[in-house]
Amino acid sequence: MLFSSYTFLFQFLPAVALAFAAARRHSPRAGILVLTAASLFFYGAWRPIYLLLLIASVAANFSLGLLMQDPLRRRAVGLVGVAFNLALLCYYKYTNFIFDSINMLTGAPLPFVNIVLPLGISFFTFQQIAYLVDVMRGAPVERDIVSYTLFVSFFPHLIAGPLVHHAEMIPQFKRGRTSRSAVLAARGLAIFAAGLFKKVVIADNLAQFVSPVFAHVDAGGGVTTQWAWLATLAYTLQIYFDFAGYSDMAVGLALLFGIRLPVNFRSPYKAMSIIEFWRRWHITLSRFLRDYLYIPLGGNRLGEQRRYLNLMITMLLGGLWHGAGWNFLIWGGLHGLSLCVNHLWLAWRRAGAKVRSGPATIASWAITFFVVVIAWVFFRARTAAGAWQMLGALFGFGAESSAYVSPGVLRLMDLPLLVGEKPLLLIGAGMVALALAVVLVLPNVPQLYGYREYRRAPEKEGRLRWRPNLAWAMVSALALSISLFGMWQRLEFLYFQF
Amino acid sequence: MSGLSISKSTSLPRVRTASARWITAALALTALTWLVVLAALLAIANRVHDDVPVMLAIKLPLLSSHPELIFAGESRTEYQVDPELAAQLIGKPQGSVVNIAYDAGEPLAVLAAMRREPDRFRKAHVVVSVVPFLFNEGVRSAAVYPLDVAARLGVAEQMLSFLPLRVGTLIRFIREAFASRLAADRDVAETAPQPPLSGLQVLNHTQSEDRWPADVGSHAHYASWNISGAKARFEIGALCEMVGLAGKVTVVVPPWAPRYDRASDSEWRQKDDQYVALVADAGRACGFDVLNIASVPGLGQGNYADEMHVNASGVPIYTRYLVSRLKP
Repeated sequence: MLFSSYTFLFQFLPAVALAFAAARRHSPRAGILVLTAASLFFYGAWRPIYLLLLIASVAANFSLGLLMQDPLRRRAVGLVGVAFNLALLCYYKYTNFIFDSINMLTGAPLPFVNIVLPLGISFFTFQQIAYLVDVMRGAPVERDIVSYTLFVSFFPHLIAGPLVHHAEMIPQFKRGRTSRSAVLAARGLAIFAAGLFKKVVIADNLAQFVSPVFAHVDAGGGVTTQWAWLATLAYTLQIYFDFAGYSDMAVGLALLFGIRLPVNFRSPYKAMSIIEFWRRWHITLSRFLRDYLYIPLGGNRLGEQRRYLNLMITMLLGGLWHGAGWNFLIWGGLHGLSLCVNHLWLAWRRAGAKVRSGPATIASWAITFFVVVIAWVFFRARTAAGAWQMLGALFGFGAESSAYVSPGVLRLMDLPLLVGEKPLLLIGAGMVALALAVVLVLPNVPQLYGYREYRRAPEKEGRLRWRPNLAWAMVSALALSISLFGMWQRLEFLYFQF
Repeated sequence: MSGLSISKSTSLPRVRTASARWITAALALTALTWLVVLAALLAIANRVHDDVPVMLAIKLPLLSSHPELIFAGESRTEYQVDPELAAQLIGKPQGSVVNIAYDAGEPLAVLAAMRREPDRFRKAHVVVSVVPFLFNEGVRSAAVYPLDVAARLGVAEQMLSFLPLRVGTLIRFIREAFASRLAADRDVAETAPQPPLSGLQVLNHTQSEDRWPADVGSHAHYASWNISGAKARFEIGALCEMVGLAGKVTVVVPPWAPRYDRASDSEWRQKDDQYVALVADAGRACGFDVLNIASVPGLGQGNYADEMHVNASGVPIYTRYLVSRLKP
C-alpha cells in the first residue's frame, strides 16, 4: 500500500484516523493500540507472510531487551541480538550478492536463491540494532510490548524511514497530552500535501527522462552526451524529490496522529561540501552510521589515518546498506573518498586560514554538486557496464551506433504527448532546471512549515512560512488535487527497494 | 474564513478551533480544485480523443492484406474466432480473413476505422459481435464503458453521469483519450507490426469453480437494465452507418457458457430478448444481418474459460459454427 495510492488515501488513512480519534477519546493507550494494529495491517497488506517475519523480529528483539535487564548477561545477549539482526538482514538482502561474488572470484557454481526482500527490512532491522546497542550501553529496557512494537512498525516510517530512534519515539507513545492534536494535524496535512506533490508531480514526471535511458545502457546500449546529462541530472533530482517527498509524507502522516518524526532532509543540494551534504541528506541514516558504526570504529579519536579508514568503512557499508551490489559499494566508496578529501582540504584550509569569497562559494557548491551527481550514476545503474557507459557518455565518449533514441513522447502525469526527440530534450532540460531552481531557491519543508522535531531546528526562520490561513489552505489544496491526478501513474518509491 | 488566521497571542482553544477549521477548509478546497482540474482535463480529453483506441489501432495493420472477411467487435470475437481457420473453411488464402476485435470493443470504434480507411472495408464482409453492456446504461464501470460514447457526452454530462462513484470511468477515459491520440499521431494503424495469428488471442485457462457466476440474469452486464440511453443510441447508430461503408455487415450475438439455462432464468431471458430485439430491429431498418447464437452444437462447458469466453479448445468449434452460419 503506497502512500500515493487511492487505497491508502481514501480507505486506509481515513479509517485509521477515525478509529484513532475515537480511541483517543477513550484513552491515549487505546489510541496507541489502534496505531499498532493499523501498522501491522499496513505491513501485512503487502504480503501477509512477511508480517510474521516482522512480528518475529519485533518479538525476538523485545525479548532480548528484557533478557538484557540482567547486567551480567547484558553484553553477551546484546551481541547475540545484533548478530541475529545482521544475519536476518544478510539472508534476505545479501545472500545472492555473496553467492554472485564468490562465483565471480572462485568460479564455484553457487545457485541463485529466489528470496523476496521484505519491505523495509533495512529500516526495521537497523532501528532494533540501535535499540540493543543502546541497552548494552546502559539505556533503559523497554517493558511495554505495544510501545515497542509501534516504535518499530509505526506505518508512516515502516517502509522507507526516516530511521527512528527508540529514545525519540517511545516517550511520545506514552505521553498522555492531546490538547495540541488539531494544531499538529493541520501542520501534518500541509506537510503531507507538500510531500505528495514532490513525489507524484515532480519526481514521477522526471522519471521519464531517467528510466528508459538507464535501461538502455544497462542492456548494453550507448547514449549521447546530451541524453546522458539529462538522464543523470533528472535522476539526481528525481531521487531527491522521491525520497524527500516520502519523508515529508511520513512526517505529515505521523503529525496527524500527534507523533513527531525526525527530519530526514534539509536542502541537501544546497550543500557547499560533501561533509555538509551528509548532514542534510538522509539525516537519520547518517546519524545511525555515525553513532553505531563510525564512532564505535574509533571515529576521529585514533589519529588522522584511522579516521579516514573509518570514514571509508562507514561509507562503503552505507553504500551496501542501500543495496546488494558492487555499484552501491562504488557509490559508497566515492562518497567516502570525497569525505576524506573534504576533511584533508579543511585541515589544509585551517592551516592557511583563508577566507571564503563569493566565487569560492560558488565553486564549492559546484564541486560538491558535481561529485554527488557523478556518484548517482553508480547508484542508479543496474550493471557496472551500464554505469561506466553512462559515465563515459557524460564526458563525450558515449555516442555510438547503438545510442539511445527516444520515441519523442512526453508524459505529463503519465498522459502521453508526441513532441519529437529534440523538443523532448529541451522540455526535459527545462523540467530539470525548474526542479533544480525549486531545490536551490525555495526553503525546505522544515523551514517552510516551521516543523520542529524534538530538537532545535538548525535553520533560521524564513519570510515564507506556513500559517493556517486561507492562502495556505489553497496552496495545500492545489498540491493535493493535482497530485491526486498524478497518482494514477503508480510509480513505486525509489527507496522501497532498500 | 477570517477564523482561519491565528495570531501569536491567541489562546490554545482558539488555535485548536482555527486548526480544525483550516483542515476542513483545506479538504473542501481540495475537493473543489480537484473538480475544476477534472473538468479541464475532460475538456482536453474530449478534444484529443480519437474514436479508434490503441487496442484497435494496433490491429489495423492486418487490413493491409485487403481481407474479404473482417471479424470485429468485442472479446467474444477476439478470443473465439480463428481467422486462419476461417480462411481455410471458405477456401481463401491466409490474410483474406482477419480478426480486429478487442476487449470491450464497440461499434463506434469500428465505424471510425472504416471511415479512416474506407478502401479496406468497402468490399469486405464485416462481422461485428456485440455484448449487453454496450447498450445497457446501467453498466458504468471503468473496465467496459464504451469510451467513444463517453466522448460524445460533453463535460457536464460526463461529470454528472459518473461522479462520484464511477470516477474511474472518467479517469480511464482521459488516459485512453491521450493514448488514442498518440496512436493516431504516430500512425500506429499503418506502421505497427502485424499481430500474430491474424489477430486471434487465445485463452488457455479455465477459471476455478467458485468464480463462475451463479446465473446470468443478475450478471453485471445486465445490472440496472436500461437500453434506451446514449449508449444504445450511438452504438446502434454506428452499426447502421457501417452498412454504407462495407460490402456486407453481420452483427453477432455470441452465446454464454452452456451451464446457464435461459429457460430457468427468466430475468436473463427477458433482458436478453430486449437487447437482441433492439439489434434485430436496427438490422431490419438499416440493412444488416443479425446472428443470434444462443448455443453452439459441440461446444461444452469444458470448452469455456469463464462464463462468456471459450478457451483454446473451443476456438475451432466456435469458428466453424460461426463461419457456417454466415451468409455469403
